[in-house]
Amino acid sequence: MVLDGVAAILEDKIKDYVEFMTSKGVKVINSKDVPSFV
Amino acid sequence: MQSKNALIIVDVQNDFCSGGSLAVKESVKIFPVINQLRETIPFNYVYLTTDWHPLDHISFASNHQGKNPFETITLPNGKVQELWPDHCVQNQAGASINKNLVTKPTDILIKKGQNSNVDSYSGFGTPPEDTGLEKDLRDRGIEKIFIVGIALDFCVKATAVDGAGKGLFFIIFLC
Repeated sequence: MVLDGVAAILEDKIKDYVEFMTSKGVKVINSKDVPSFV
Repeated sequence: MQSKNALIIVDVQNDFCSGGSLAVKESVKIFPVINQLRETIPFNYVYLTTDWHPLDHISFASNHQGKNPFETITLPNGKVQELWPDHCVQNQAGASINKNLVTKPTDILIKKGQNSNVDSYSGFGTPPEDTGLEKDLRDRGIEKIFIVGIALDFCVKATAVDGAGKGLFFIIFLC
């Protein structure tokens, strides 16, 4: 058994993940957007 | 003046990668993303968190008679503990940073999960463990923290939520 731990395979869960993290005060972005947040 | 930032790379260790005892599916996909970002973005500081467990760690199913990996137990304090295969054992190859991740001598290594009786998904540690990460971030005046790594739904999540709860500004980026 392996864990599901990379965004690419969490596609069906990612919306809930982002909503949860946002509710905790954590911003979630895509890697290509990192430069604009630095 | 631009604020100081940091990148925290979570648990990119052999045991969480292909062939490891607790491998994360397709973890190989994150290496080029992280490596390229490190080449192009001048993060002020880069931290590497690592699971660094003693052999008698509470999260190892092998330490609980009759239990198997991926089952759970309820601890005396009422907390539900997930059980895992032995992984990231101190000083063993599985605990080493995977060679596909580009690291630098200036990277700051954070070890978590060293207390046999407490599982620490968070890079800050779970009390009574304190990894020193919070103090280090504050001492360096870091105001913005990017975080990436494996596994997204365990240690990355726990570290970011824990840090946000401490008033630090965390940004997870998805690979």
